[in-house]
Amino acid sequence: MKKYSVKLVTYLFFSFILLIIIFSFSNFSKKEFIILLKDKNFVRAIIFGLKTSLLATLLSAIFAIPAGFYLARNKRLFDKIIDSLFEIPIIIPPLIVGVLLLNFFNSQIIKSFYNFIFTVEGATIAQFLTSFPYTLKASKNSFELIPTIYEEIAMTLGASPLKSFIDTTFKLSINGIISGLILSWVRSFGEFGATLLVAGGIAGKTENLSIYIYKNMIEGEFNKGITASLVTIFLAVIIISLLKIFIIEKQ
Amino acid sequence: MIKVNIEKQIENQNFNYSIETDSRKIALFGPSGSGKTTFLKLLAGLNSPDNGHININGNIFFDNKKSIPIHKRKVGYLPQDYTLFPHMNVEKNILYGVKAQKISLNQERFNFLINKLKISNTLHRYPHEISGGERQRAAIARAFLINPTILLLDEPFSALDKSILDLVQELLEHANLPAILVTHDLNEAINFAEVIAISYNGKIIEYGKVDKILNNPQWMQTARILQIKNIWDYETAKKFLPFKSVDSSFDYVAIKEEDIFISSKGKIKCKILDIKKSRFSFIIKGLIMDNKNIFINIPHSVIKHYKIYNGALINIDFEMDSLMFLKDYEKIFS
Repeated sequence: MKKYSVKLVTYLFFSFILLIIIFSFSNFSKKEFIILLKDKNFVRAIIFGLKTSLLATLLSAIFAIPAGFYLARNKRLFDKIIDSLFEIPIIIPPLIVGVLLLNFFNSQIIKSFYNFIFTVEGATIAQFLTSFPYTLKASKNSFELIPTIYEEIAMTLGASPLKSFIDTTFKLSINGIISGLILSWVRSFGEFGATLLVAGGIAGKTENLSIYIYKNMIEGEFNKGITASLVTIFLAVIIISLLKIFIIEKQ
Repeated sequence: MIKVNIEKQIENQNFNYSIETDSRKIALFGPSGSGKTTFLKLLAGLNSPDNGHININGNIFFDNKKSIPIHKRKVGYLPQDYTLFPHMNVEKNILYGVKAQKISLNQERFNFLINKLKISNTLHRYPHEISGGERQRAAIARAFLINPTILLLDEPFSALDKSILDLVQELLEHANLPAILVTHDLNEAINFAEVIAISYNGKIIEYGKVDKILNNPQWMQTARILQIKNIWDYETAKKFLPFKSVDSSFDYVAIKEEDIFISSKGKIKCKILDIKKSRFSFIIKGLIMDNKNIFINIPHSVIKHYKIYNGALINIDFEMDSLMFLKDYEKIFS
């Protein structure tokens, strides 16, 4: 009984999501699709979105994986506080991250160094700050699951500390880390609030797909917005499926 | 030659290990939590001593001037659950050390080890695809293949196949390699070692040849760890054990259960309280003068000559030289 009720809830839930997507197809037209593909701003929004989200994911890999490792191995009170604070970007709306970041980039000190506002760099940092916790959490959880004894054994066998770490803990955690990076990337690719505030959503220059769709919707171009949304969903499903097949399953 | 004298403070507990021996086979024996694994980790370099020195066969691993990093110590370390890398097949596991050290593989030695340890048909399988015994043997091959300076065995035989201990001894002889076995199994320690070191509260309280430690320990704590049940404080024992005062500095007197025998001319009367049967003998719990308990181990072949039952009165005796006079380690060093 319990098994069947859980199954029923799962199927109903999935059907609801599927229904929303199928319903969107009622406004999908081939003509609109061709117009969309010919729209340079749409193509530029995809390129801008891919560029900034991939750079943001790279930043997550550089900063959040080592931080996840550190927090997995260090459990003092201060480290636990840092761990909790790193969750703030997930808890607060991305728009607020954008507000704080805009305020920071607007300060004279930062401006004298570099002007991040309305730039690819600014959008990248905004997306990085809203998405890194996914990589950090996944890395930390994965590292925590691997006992240190593997690294220790590798060292006694003559591997340097770095090689021991890469050959054992890192390789054994790689699935979790990749899952975290994928989540961070997807989150960055679809990011809206922080990117809009920091990068300004300049058509053809600093707008990603989310901003492009939003601007079309408020300008009354409903069909264009829905078509672009469906294209985005299609792209996301394809990319995630390929990643799962070629990276996660292989591992 | 093993020469170790190290100190380490870990979370308010002070570890202090001192041992110097020419023997190649040492067993560190002691109860769980007495710091045996900590000792091995300090030797391997997985933990760094606060001060002291570690000299293994002339290789100085640690002294107050330098500390050789773990990966340069060439220590064969076999932990409790023999820990093969789960994402590598058996062959890659065994060859890991050779590749990590970028040294050329001695194919003859590799073949010798895998044949001797009977793992040649598991080389392309992953650790989860082979039996516990095969994992154990693969971990032994991996440790031996790097030609280590010493083999550190952290209760690797407690889980499974005891016969592997003989195999390891054979390999040690063949490689002419010193080894330290950490164990809480006394039979295993006796079977393996030439020298037994007793671990108690983070310290090696005494060490020596197996016979010396078993028959003539220095401390009451050692006798307890060796699971000797008949231990009485010196003054009490004087009242019911017929021995001449030896040295007033002793705190305890002990006698092994198997050193007591039943004899019609025995000087001590004993009332049997309980009889437990084991594979080779009976363990009798009796009551002697002063309401003191005594434990006697009588072989099956001997017991049939006596009427033994709960409540029976028997005479028991022992050889004077089987008495052990012990001091209290805590009293002197705490």
